Formats: sequence, structure tokens, C-alpha cells
Amino acid sequence: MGDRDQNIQTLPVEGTREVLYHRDLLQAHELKPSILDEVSEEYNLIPQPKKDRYTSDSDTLILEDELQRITLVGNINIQTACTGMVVAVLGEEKENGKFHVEDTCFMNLQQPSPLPALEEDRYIFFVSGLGLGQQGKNLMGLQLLVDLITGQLGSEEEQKKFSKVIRIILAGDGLSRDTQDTSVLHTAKYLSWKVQATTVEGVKELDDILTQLVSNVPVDIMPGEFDPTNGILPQQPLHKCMFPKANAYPTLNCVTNPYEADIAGCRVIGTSGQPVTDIYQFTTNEDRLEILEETLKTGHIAPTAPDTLPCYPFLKEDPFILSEMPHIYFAGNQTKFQSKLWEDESGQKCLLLTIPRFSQTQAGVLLNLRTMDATAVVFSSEFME
Amino acid sequence: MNQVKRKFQASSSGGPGKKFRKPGGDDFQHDPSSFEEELALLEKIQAEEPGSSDYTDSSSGRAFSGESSWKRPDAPTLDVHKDAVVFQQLDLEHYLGKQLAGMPGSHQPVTPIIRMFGISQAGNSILCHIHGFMPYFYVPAPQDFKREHCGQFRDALNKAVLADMRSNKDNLTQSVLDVDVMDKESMYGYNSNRKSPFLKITVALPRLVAPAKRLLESGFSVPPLYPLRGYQSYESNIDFEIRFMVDNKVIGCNWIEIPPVNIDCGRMMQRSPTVKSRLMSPSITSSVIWQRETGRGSLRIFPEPEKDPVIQIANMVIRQGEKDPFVRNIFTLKQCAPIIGSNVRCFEKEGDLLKAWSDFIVQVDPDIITGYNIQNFDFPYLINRANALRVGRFPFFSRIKDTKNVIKDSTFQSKQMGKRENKNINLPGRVQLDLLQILVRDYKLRSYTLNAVSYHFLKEQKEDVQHSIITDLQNGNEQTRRRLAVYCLKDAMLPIRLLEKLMCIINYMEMARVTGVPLTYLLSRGQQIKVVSQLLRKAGEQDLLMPSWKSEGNDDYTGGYVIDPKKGYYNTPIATLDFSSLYPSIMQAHNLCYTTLLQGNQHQQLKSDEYIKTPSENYFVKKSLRRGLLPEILEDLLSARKRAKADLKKESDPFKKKVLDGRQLALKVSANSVYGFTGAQVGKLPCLAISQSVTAFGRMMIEKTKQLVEGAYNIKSGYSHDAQVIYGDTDSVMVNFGVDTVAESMKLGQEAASNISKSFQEPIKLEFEKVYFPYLLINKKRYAGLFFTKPDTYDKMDCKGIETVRRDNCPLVSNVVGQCLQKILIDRDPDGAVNYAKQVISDILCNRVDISQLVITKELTKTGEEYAGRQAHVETAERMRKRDAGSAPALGDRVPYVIIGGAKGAATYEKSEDPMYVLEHSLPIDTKYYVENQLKGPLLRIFDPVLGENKAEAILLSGLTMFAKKKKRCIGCNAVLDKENAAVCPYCKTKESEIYQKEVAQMSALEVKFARLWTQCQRCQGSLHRTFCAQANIHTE
Repeated sequence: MGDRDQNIQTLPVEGTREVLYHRDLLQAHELKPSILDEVSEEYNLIPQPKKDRYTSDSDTLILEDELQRITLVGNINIQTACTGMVVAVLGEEKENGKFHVEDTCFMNLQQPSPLPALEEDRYIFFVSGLGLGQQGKNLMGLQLLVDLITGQLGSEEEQKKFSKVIRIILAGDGLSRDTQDTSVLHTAKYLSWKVQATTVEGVKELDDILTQLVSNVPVDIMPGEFDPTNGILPQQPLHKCMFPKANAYPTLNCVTNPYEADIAGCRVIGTSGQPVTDIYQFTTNEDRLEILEETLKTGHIAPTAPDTLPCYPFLKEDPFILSEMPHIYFAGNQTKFQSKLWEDESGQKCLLLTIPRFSQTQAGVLLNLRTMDATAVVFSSEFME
Repeated sequence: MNQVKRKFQASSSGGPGKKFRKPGGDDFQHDPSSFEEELALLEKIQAEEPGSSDYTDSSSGRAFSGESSWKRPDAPTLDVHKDAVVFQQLDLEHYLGKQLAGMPGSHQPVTPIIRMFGISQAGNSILCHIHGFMPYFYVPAPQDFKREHCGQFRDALNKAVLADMRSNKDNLTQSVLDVDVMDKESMYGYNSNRKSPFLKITVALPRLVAPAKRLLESGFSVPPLYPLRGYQSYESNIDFEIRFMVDNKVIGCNWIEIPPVNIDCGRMMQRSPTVKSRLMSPSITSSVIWQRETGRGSLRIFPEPEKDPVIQIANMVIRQGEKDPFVRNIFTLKQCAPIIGSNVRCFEKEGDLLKAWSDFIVQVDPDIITGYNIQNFDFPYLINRANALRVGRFPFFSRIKDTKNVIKDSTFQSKQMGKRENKNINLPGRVQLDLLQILVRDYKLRSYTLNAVSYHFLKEQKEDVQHSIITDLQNGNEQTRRRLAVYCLKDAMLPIRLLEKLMCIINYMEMARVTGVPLTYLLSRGQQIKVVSQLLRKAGEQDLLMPSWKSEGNDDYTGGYVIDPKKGYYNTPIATLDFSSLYPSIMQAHNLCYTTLLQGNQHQQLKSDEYIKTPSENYFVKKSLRRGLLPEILEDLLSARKRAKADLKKESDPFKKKVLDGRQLALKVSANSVYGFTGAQVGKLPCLAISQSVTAFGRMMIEKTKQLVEGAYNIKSGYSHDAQVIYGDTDSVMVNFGVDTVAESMKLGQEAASNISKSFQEPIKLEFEKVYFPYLLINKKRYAGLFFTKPDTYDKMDCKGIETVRRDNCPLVSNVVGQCLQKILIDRDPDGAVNYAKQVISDILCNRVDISQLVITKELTKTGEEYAGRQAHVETAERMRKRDAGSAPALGDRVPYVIIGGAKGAATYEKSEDPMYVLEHSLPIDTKYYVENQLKGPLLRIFDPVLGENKAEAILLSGLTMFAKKKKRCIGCNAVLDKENAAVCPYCKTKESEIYQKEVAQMSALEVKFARLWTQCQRCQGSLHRTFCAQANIHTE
């Protein structure tokens, strides 16, 4: 964040041992692409190598308070820690100017209000990455999903189950990557003023899908990386003018990303997945659920913003800091469905969910609020091929 | 000393130092954010030394860390009867003092004494006073002069000079010490090798040379022996130091050995420069910098020493040839938190700080002091500030104990540099190498800010901290002051890195050696003094005297010859044949010199095979009669260069390699400046006959080459095509052999070069250097092409005189032109280039070009009144001065400006404005100006040859009217809107979603770009907290 100015202190303890209370970790990446190179390359046109991940063995971990930086070594995993994590470290500074870490600790989150006990099953249905607007895309799976939720498909039991879905959360990326127009900054307006925005078709399809859904269930639609809204976190709700049909229903709820909601007394917080994907790129951590867990532990939804994750320059406060433990914490647009009931030392519980990308997995996540059981619902469509 | 050695080993072994350097990368390319870590690491290296563990001690009272490690070694005990003193001389000057008992020299109350500052191999600093060298000059002896009349002549002249003096505060009784008669010869003109008697007149003080000379020139008589007549003086305009160096064969930065027993001028030994002087003795460079605090009321005003305190001074001291500075400290006002790797000394009183700093300089005793603009800003400011605070012994940090450092203003003018106003501070014994001065002298850059320069050479940026923020940081707590200190240390580090990267010290020392002038002259004087020094040395060997002439203001200068270019775009390989060192070799080949010049009808008395007539109708004798001085000097220089180059190839030690490379470069530059010396109108010894003959020969040779090439390589002689010389300039010709491949062209080029060389006199040599393919010839001195030295791959894109390399337009122009050329030449895609150019033009008109691309810089060489017309940069500077007198550009600075929209028909100079002011006030850019006056010309020039005359304009600049004024219109269909606060018209309402999506896509892309640029600032600054960089000019080249 722009200014993370809070009281930070360096306390010398027992001679050489020191405890440093620090706010931020910084990972130094050699492979990190530089915008300056890119800006300059507008003039010499050599593209930077695109990489899935930017980690290398020579990455270093630096601890920064508001005054100085120090390189960390020792009992801390350089490759899995990420920039922006707020951490306190215990250890001492050796002569070589590096800090040898013995132990680390993160901040504690406040206890949430207890979950209300539900008499009967209530469901939230999560789905992300519909990926509309993609050329030659088969929409059968998506239609199955809609039909199932609207009760036009499935066994009686299933119909009963889905009738208890009280909320659908569309966790971002209703549109596919294909709808991104990379040339927008490089073409003159007068050359492109007759050209239609690349997202138009996709948005129309999305409107159709939404219309079917919102006529039955309240839908919270979060914007994602490829959706037509502002590109940096926090993303503002999709504009309702884009959904002229679905907008007729009050059940259409365009929300922000990250999104925090209270559903039947249950505190739900989540993102469309950008923070997790970003950390994945800059660390060696393979397990995205673990990454999600890490962000919860450190109490920060998007630690890498604004360093590698674009974000609005907040000057006074950091809206991504978690102050209270949520009941449900999710990230959209991940590779597969994973869930875990996380418990901290004080016994607080939080359900972690990674929601798979629908366009790749044909799956959504059905969460029973009463039992806190989450299951993946796969709309397999073998017969379609 | 022991410790010094240990330190050296630690840092040169490379072990710990390697860690934070990028593997295989340039040693100087540090991650900008790593500066603090770098400091910390340096500490680690040093920590291996005992006695420097208390590095974080920040209390003012305690001793420096590892003080013992950077003190000069104690002077060895010296037995004057046995031990010789050997040292490398770094600076040489004279002062007036009392003659010492037992020393030679005049017995006048004051006498000139030469002093040499130097450093011994062991690192001791050495000062050597040399007595007994007296200033003198020559006049031709009057007819029938008799040796016994010397005394009378002396007395008469002495009387005249004493009478001429307005006051005689030194109580001189003898102004003219001696008159002697000697057989010498004038250098100017051929005198049939006959010597004639000259009077050598020795005076008591250097400043008496001028009046004595004036008296003699205006008419002088020694009644009754010699009647009234004017005497032409010889060698009376030579600096005393140069005189001394020439007579004693001392060259710049050489090794001096003072043999045991006696120290006097006559017995001082000169070590042969070629053998011993390759070793460079350790010299210390210190870089000083500070922040100034400005009063709150006057935030943007430049600091005034009377009011604004000095709050921090950072120093880095390095031994020449080592990688890392061994002293890194900072003096701060008020407490400052410790910085790992640096010594922080805090002071409560500013006076104490300044005093301590002055003491520090004396203690660390640097030979060379560098910094950025120290000469014109830092030192004067410190001295003035100390004055204002009445700090007693502050301005005494030179090598001479009781010499006060004073500031003097000086103006310096040379053809190469224009007029500059400088401040001079006398620091006897310490060479001031102001990096800014070096860069302005040696490199042509768009901007000379430290940031721009560091980026250019080191790819490292520094943050720019504004004055107002400095005040806040200083008034904060010890942590905010620490932040400031880190910035300050980095500022001190950069000049040292730059000096090393550019090898300034090595190159300057080599130049001093080659040309034989003191090191300090290279920065404070022009080119001529170097040639004078060499000329005098050579002349002295042959008893030749250099006349002192008043320069004649004749500006009849002809440049090199240019064959009319056959403009166009050549899609065939073009071979380039070059004369190597054209002008020096012409002078050598034809024996052109002052001494061989035949004046008037002199040539008629000689046999026709004894002289030559140059194409410019001047006559010179041939080598057989007299070998010229200049050809000899040139031969020495060029053969020395050959030697240096050969040694360079053999040498493996990187440091010695640097030295050799510096030497060969210095030799090359010196050789070329000899021609300039003869042509310099305001010179010591201009000789039009030589310079015009040289250029005339050059013309002739280019023409002859053209004829020879075209005569030999044609279809008639069995070649496949007629060769055509399409262009030629000064020392090169471009030949189109008509062949299709680079390889063939290279073969023919090499062949032609060696064949044609034979028809010219030795050592003139035509060399084949390169092939351009394709080649875009725009006009005289304007061309571009792909540069091949090997048949398969091109080396680079070479542009001459095209906007990519010129500095007097905005970066946009060079970027666009460069890009277009790249598309045309490398991609062979002229259509792509046209589209690209169109795109840029529309970008400008739509205001989509970043302002940094539009900044034009121009050097302010004269003040406003001196310029004939009103000019944009002068007006901008004036406007800036009115807003804030302090930060406005000074004479010699490059003024940045952009052109803003103004009233119709307003002159450009009325519309120029400071880019920062434009940004702050969101003033509109005059987009039309940039298209019409900046882009149009250069683009048409490169596209005309490609697309055909006059077609380019139609293609590129048609339809400009599309960009008429904008009113509030529907963003969808551009219909004029009736309603306020609506974005779309009723018709477009249905398409609102689409329009929204389009706009939002644009916004989103811009947002991401912004966010990334912003974090880049954090990375650069090296902190995630509070960005306070105000850098106006981030470099992205």
C-alpha cells in the first residue's frame, strides 16, 4: 500500500538478540518484468519474455520497516514468502548485515460473531470463470448449470437441493481472456472509433445467462481480471447498463472484487482470484489453497498489491487488511476445487475455498451453510462431444 | 599500511563482493534499490579489518571507525644523503616566496618557486619545492650585437621595466635578471636552416614578462649602442608552469625522482615515462555532497549561503584502482539513526559540522576531489556558508597549511565549449575533477542532471528529493534524517561510480602524459595548450623559437570537401572507403609545418625539386631540406599510438588495459588537434597556409579517389557494373559498386582501398572499413544505413546527422525517426514505417504522447541580451528566473522546455514553457507545433527518398483537418449534446453498454500501467513506504 505507516519498532532484547516488529516483507525478484523496460520498449519493440512464474534461486527476502531494509536468512522460506506480508521475526543480525531468523509470527485476527445455527439446509453456489465471449465455445455445460439451478433439470432430490440455494456468487471472469483488447492503448482513437469493443458479444451472452439465473435466485456478480470494469484492485462493480435484461430483476447484485457479504449470518469474504494467482507466480508454492491460507494467516487479502498486483494507491488506509476472521474465505478462478476447514490456535474456524475456473473444469461449488460442507458440482457433458 | 593491504585483498578477491552483483552482468549495474544493502556489504568487507568494529557509533565525540585504516602511512625516515625520493607528480604550480638559503635563484625579496604535489609508491603524499627556475623569453638580437653588451642591455631594460611599474610593493631592485645571447632560429617560415643570434631575457617574476615584452615590442633603445627599434618577442606568452615542464622534460603525472644529497632543479631526475609510469600510484578520490535546508517561506528558492544551513555532507573515499570506497561517512546536523556500512557523525551545531568536515578532508588528505558540480556550487557554498557562520579555520582544507581557499570567478571560452562562467577555488595540491565539467566537456548528452547521467552510463537512477521535503525530513526525527542520509550517500557514491566507469582519471592522466601538461590544465584550459606544450618540446630540441603573435581575427576557414550526394534510398550495398587520420597523414606526407613554409617569393630561390606547391598555392620545402616539426610530432604520436594499441592487445591485466586504452585514445585526440591548432583563428600560432593546404589536399584526394574508383571499376574494365561514388565527405567516399551482396562489395572495397592507397604518398592510406546496406542518403552529412563489417550480420544501424542523434529537438522526434529508420532499413518495411509515422502524428494531435517525449532542451550559451533574436529557451529560462531565481538555468545549462498552446500567431518563444510548470498547471500542449515544426521536416526528409519527392507529405500529413476543435459531444457518435452531464445522445442510449465497455477497457489498461509505474518508483527508491521522489525525468531509453 502506499503508506503503511504505523508504529513500528525495533526492540533490542538481551544483548545480541533482537525482536524486530515489522510490517512488510519484500521479495526481490530478478526475473520480475520491469515496466520501465516495457515503456521504453514501446520504442524499440522487443517484447519481454513472458513467464508463468518469476521465481529463481537468487531471489532474496528483505524485511522492511518504514526506515530501513535488511536481508533475511535462516528459518524462513524465501521461496514461499511473498512481498507485502506483515510479519514479526525473531532472530539476530549477524556481522554480514543479514538478519538470521529464528522464528516468525503473524498477527491474530479478531473473533467473528458466532455462526447462527441453521435449522435446515441452506446453500450458496459458487461459480467463477464462466469465460463467455470465447470463439467457438460450447455453452452446453453452462446451460446445464443454469437449468439445474433453475430447477429444470435433475432428479427430484437434486431439484429439492438446488431449490435451497439462497445465493449464487459469480466470482469473477464472466468473460474470457479472449475478449481482452491489448491494442487499446496503442491505437489512435480516430482509427478505432467504428470498431466495437471486443467484450460486447460476451457481455450479451452474460446478460442472457444472468437473466435466467436472477429470475430464480439472487446473484452476486463480482468482476474479475477480464471483465469490463476498472482493471486494478479493488475492482468496482460491473455497470448495470451492460445488463439491460437482467437489470430488470432486483435480484441482480453487482458487487466489488474483493467482496464481503453477510449471508444468513455467515461472513463471506473472497476475491476473484487475482491475489492468489499473483502470489503463485512469485513464489514456489504449488498449492493454491495453501497460498490462500497464507494470506489469511497474515491477515491480508492481497499482500503483493501494489508491488506486482496492480492496485489503487490508497494513502491513508489499506482496505485489504482483514481485521476480523471470516467464516468463509474464497478465491475464484483457480485450477481446481479445494476446501479446508482452517483452525487457528484459539480455535477459530474458517472455511477456505478455491473455486475452479468453470470454463476449464465445468465445475461449481455448492456449500451447505448448515454443515459447512462444500462439494464440487461438475456439469460433465460427455455426450455433447 | 598493513591494514590497507589487507583491505585491498579482501575487496579484490571478489569473494563477498560477488554476491550482490548480477552474475555475468556489468559490475556497475546495481539494482537501484540495493544501495543500502550495498553499503552494508561494503562494511562486511571492511569488517575483516581489526579495529573498525564500532561502525555504527553515531555519537559525535568518538573517533572515526577504523581511522587508522585510512590515514596516510607515516612518512618514512629519510636520509637525504642516501635515499632518493620517488613520486608521481599530480599537480604543479608556482608561488612567490623567499629564496631559501643555499638554494639557487635570484636574491630578490620574492622569487618564483615551483612546487610539485605528488604521491609516492607507498602512498605518502609529497610536496616538492623547486628553486631557481626563472621566467624568460627571447627577442632577436639587434644587428651586430656583441656579447659584452649583454650587461648594458640588461640594465637598460631593467630600468625601463622598473620605471614602468606602477608600484613596487615587493621592493624589487632587479626586474631583469639576465640577458644572454644565443643562436636560435624562428619556427615560423623556412630560414634555410640558418641560426641567428637571439637575446634570452630572464626576468625576476613571471608577471614581469608581459611588461618587458611590451616595452621591447613598442620600441626600445640602448643608447648609445643600439638605436630605437621594436623587437618581436618569442615565447613570451608561455605559462610559467609549461615553460618549466618543457625545459625540464617533465610531463603531466609522471614519476619524479629526486636523487639523494641535494634537491635542486638541475639535478631533479625525470624518469622515462614509457617505462615506469604505467603503474598508477594510489590516489584518493573523495566525493562531497550535501543537502541544503531552505527556510519554510521560500520553498523553491535556491539556497543562499547566508541563510540556509548545510545539514548533511557525505563522503566516499576510494583508492584509485580499487573497486569500493574505503571510507564512507556522513556528517549530519542533529542526531541521525545509524546506517549499516557507513559512519554517521552527528553534530548539534552547524559550525562544528563544517569544521569537522574540513578537518576530515585534511586528515584523509585526498589527491583528487570529485563530485557533481562541486566547482561551481558545492565548494563555493560551503566556503560562503562557513564565512556566514564565522567558522574559524574552515577554508583551509588544501595541502598547503595556511593557504586560505578563496573563490574566484572566471570565464572560459573555447571553440569547442563556447563561453562558460566558472568559479575557481584554489586548492593547492588537490586536483579538483568536477564530474559535471568532465561530462560537459567530453560527452554530448541531452541532460546533465546527475540522474540523467547515471542512467545513461550506469543504468542506475537516483531519486530526486525536493527542497521542501528535505526540510520536512530534516525537521522530523532521527529516522527521517537517516532516510535523507541514505539519499545523500548515494549522491556521493554515484560520481565515483561514474568516474570509474568512464575511466576519467586514467584517461586524463594519460592525456596529461602524452601532451605534457599538468593534469589540472586539461579541465581548466582549451585544446591549444596541449599542442603548444608538444610544439615547444620539439622546438627546444632543434633550437627553434616560437614567435608570440597577436592572433589575427581572420575567419577564412574552409571545411572538408563534400562530394555532392546523389540522394536516395539504395537497396544495394554501399562500400565506404576512409582515409585513416586524414589530416595528420597529409601533414606528414607533404611535410607541412611552420618550419617548412616558404613565404613570399622564397620558393623562387630554390630548385624546383626542393619544394612543393600545395593545391592552395602555398609553398613548402621538402623533407630533404628540412623535416617539419609538426610531422615529427605527429609521427611520434601516431607511432606511440600504434605501440599502445599493440601493447593493448598483449596485455591481460584489466587495469593496465584501461591505462593503455586511455593512452591510445589520448594520442589519437592529440594528433587530430594539431591540425586544429594551425587553423585556430584565435590561437597561439595560427598559420593559414598550413591549414588551407591541408584541407586543399584533402579535397584533391577525395576527388582523385572518386576518379580512380569510377575509372577502374566499370563494365569496360570487365566488372559487372559501373561503380559510382554517391557521396564523399572530408575523409571518406561512399561507393556503389552495383553488386548485390555485402560480401562482394566488401571484396571490391578492400581491393580498391589497397590499389588506390598506392597512388598517394606515404603515410596516407585509404582504408576499407564498412559497407552500408541498405543505405538512405538524405543530404550532405545526413544519412543512415545498416552497418556491416562482416559479410553475414550487421553490426548496428548507423545514423549520421539525422534527428536520432541530434539533441536540439524533442526525444519524440528521435524516437520516431529511429523507429521509422529501423522499419525501413532493418525490417525493409517502408509501409510499416509510414503507418507508424501516421500513428504517431495522430497520437500527438490527440494528446496521447507523454510530455517527457516533447521536452526540447537547448543550451543557454549567452544571456538574453546577447542573443540577436528572441529564442524559446532563453525566454523559458527568463520565465523560470522570474518565478524562482535560484533554480533557474544558469549559463551553460541545458534549458528544457515544451511548446504550449497560445494565441493564434503567437511566436514560438512566447509559447515556450518549463515542463514542470506545464505539468503542475495542466497547460495544453501546442500539438500542431510538434507536428509542423518538429516531426514534419525530419519525417519528410527520410520518407522523400523512399517514397519519392513530395509524395511523403501527401501520404503522411493529409487529413489533418480531422482534428478540429472539440465540443461536448456524445462519446458514442460525436453528435453535439443538448443535455449537460450526459455522456451519450438519445440515439446512442441503446448502445450505452457497448460504449461503456469500450471506455472502461481503455481506463482499465491505463490503470494497470499507472499501478506498475508507481510500484517501479517504490522499487527504485528501495522502500515500500512513502514515495517522495520528485524526479521529473525518468529515463527509459
